[in-house]
Amino acid sequence: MNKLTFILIFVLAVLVSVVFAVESRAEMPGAPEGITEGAEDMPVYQFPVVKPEINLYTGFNSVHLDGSHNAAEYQYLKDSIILGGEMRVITYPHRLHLDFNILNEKDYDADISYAYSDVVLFRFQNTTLFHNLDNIRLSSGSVNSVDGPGEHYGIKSSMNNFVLRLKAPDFPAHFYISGNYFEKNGTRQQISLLGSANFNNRVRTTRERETEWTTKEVTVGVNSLLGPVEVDISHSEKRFSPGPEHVLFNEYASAGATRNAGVYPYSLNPAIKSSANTLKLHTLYSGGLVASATFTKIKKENTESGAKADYFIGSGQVMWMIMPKLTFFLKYRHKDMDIDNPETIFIIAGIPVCSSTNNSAGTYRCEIRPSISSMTDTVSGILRYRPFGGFTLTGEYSYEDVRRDNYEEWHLPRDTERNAVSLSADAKIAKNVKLMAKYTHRNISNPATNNEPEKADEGKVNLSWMPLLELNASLGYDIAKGKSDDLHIPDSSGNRVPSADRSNMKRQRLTANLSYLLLKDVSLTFTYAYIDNKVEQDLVYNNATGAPLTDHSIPYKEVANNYSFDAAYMPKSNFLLNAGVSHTNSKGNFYPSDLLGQSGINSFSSIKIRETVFSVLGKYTVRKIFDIGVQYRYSRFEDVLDHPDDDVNDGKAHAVLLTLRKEW
Amino acid sequence: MKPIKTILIMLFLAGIVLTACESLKTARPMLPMKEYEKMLVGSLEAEYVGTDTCLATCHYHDDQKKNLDASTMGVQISKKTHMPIVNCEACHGPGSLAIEGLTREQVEEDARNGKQTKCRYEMLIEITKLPAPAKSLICLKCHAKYEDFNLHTWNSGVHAINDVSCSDCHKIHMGPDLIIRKEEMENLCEKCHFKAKAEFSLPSHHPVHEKKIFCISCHEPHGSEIEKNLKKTTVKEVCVQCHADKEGPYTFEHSENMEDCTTCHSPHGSINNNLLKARQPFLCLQCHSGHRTSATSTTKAEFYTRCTDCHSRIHGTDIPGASGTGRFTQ
Repeated sequence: MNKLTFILIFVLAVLVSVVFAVESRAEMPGAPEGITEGAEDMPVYQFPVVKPEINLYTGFNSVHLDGSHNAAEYQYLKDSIILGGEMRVITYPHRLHLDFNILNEKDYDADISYAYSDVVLFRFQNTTLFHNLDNIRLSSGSVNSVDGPGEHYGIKSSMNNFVLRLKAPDFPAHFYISGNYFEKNGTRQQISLLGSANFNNRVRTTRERETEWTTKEVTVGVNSLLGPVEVDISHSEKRFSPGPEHVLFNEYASAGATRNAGVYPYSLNPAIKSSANTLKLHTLYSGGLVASATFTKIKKENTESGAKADYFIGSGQVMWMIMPKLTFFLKYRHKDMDIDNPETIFIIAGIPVCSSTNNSAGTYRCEIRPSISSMTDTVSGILRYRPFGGFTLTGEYSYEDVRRDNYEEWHLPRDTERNAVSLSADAKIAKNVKLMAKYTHRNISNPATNNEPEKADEGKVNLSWMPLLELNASLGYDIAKGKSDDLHIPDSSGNRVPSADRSNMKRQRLTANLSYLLLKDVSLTFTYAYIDNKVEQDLVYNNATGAPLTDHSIPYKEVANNYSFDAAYMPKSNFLLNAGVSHTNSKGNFYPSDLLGQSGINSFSSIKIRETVFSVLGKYTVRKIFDIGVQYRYSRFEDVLDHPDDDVNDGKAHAVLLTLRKEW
Repeated sequence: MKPIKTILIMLFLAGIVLTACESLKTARPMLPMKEYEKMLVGSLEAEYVGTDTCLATCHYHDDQKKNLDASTMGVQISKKTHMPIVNCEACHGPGSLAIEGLTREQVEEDARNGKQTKCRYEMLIEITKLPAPAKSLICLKCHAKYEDFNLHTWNSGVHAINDVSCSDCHKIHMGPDLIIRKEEMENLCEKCHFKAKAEFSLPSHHPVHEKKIFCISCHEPHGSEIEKNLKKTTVKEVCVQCHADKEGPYTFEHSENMEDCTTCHSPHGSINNNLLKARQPFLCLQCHSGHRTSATSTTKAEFYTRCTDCHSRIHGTDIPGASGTGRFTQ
């Protein structure tokens, strides 16, 4: 859809909306007609006075960390004064709502909304958080260098979005403008490979890297009811700016004919610009036959290298209630992805960084494979049948076909087809017992990745029981099994290793939940979860001469158990006590044979972590004037295996939060 | 534009218009909506008495009325009648039978005696006993148009198909504007999605339990064009909302994996660092053969440990590196 087409559709939509507006307004089906009938004689409605509601709180947050930041991954670990509050002011036609919480300089949120009658609606939201990042030790190898290391890394992420919606009064048209502004600031670890990168000349290096990037996105749109169809048309522009340190430089050794020794860029974060045009249509929702369609055209460009990606996505859904007991749903989606990467890359001042002919200093001789473009069509049909009250049967079939260009260069299949069929039942099997069961079978021909099985079966069952108003219990179990016998693992020359062809996977999830209102003022909740992932697959290593060695049916396992308990006690209406504890035990490993004399190659994959979080909260309201709150949180992250080079380490964190809140 | 695309669009549009015409016909009730509502309360004699009459009779719902007045629904005024379009009876049906026989005097007398006067609430539409699609229809009869397109794919969405209704998530009487508070959102979703709750407790996770991001940061509970009720048009578009430095396109792409981040990552949580589906090097060895090495070589300790120590630009790069073919090392 080019710009002219877009503008024409936009103008047409507005014109047609004007034509249909008055008629459709008069014929609004489904509006609560009864309540307005006879109201002509009533006086003009006077809005009641709604008293403003305001509450503010302040306090102090004290934090302490001992060891790894894994114990408090998403906390900015600095003592600080806190501030927050909520305000609601309604003086018709104005409505204002404000909610904000400031925990510290890098951890806060705000939500502001304003409306003028129902014709102007505005909302702004901010969420700002701090993420402590890893500072890992490079695994032992031939040569490592440390180039300006940081002590601790962390990023402050600030997500801001707004929407302003204007409604034509007594006229079915909306105009809206919405925007997102995302900012990341901080430092992180940058790992890179120096040397010639050949087998006898590798140097891994780590350094601190400044992160200061932003994403800005603005969307402008209009929608209206055009008789039987409601239409929305929008355009959005998005820019990603990677900030001043978007590319790094280092001194590299010669790499044969590919690269002379010299200074070269590395780890480039390119600036990206993109735009999207979207057209949405749907019929009225309240009928027995409801349809909707969406068309989106997206253009993306990497402004550093010139790589481009165009997408066209069209989708449609239909719901048809054939009879009250039987409903049919049909969904279709078409995705056309066209990726165009350049033959020559210019990054710095017009000097080609990569070309197929140049081999001067500062330039690579390179080969660029054309990227993979593809077309994907997905269709699914769902039939829902309710033969009698409390029992629902649902059947679904879906088919997806992916067709790729440039597949040969990437050793990928030209086509991948996915077929899935599922059957589920939802039944009330006794007075207070509900059962949900679902079975799904998938068949995938020529998957593009080896972690997608060619054949898979999945079963789910969920039982919920509520014998008393005070007691609620549920138990859920999922199991999925899959297998492949036609894997594609290339050897060092890119040819498929035929002896490595088998993979089996098994995934299990068990969840149990029990909530009990023990006394009028005491409630208890227990939860337990078991997570189990297992894969058994043929792997390929290459020996010193480059000959592939197949390691058959190598098991990979992960298991986690999570237990949690929460208790709430409210002896008086102005006094609340709450306590909770959560403990997670997790471990995993894989078990290769000794083909390469691997004693040790699996050690990096061994993991055993125990994580415990305990919190207690007390809140007391003094004579309905103000309330006092105290919260304590303890978290412990334990790396049981204590591998020095892996990415997990022991840590403990304590946080105490004191608050004083006043309401008006 | 390719001919197949044009044909597809024309077919879509034709289908939508035809369906829309049929939909309009079926959506229009044979009787005015008020007659259906009267039937639902059990008597065609029932009358609409107005919110003020209803509330003055028992005063029990005054706070709910206040919240409604403070919401978008409360300010929907009919230009024709100058009265609110949405009030108690818009959803609960005509109220005359519920307050039949009650007088202000009795209410005041009961209040003096510390007693709440009971109305015959069972004579209103018993919304809690309606099946989920019918409950949602009460909302959809107005929210079928003039909207911000949040409900564009509601009817064929996962929640609607699985009998989740509007009131399962939205507290209709809580103001303002039925917005679900951030601190409530996690519990709201996890009361059904136990598996997600468990995954957010794993060592590597998105900070949902920490209330720093929310389920709706990635999911659109009102329905979506793509699976898992995801927001945006593709999986990648969801992830690059926050991880924009990995968006691309790049000159050297990681095959087509970048289009679906879930090929390598478990977005809710994982035992492994960086939300990886499996630990390195196993994850990488599932598709790639290992580097050349011998049983005695020190290279074994580098090549069969954490692949991203060298291939640090695994999400894509514009710089070819020593191989000249883009192996994500630079």
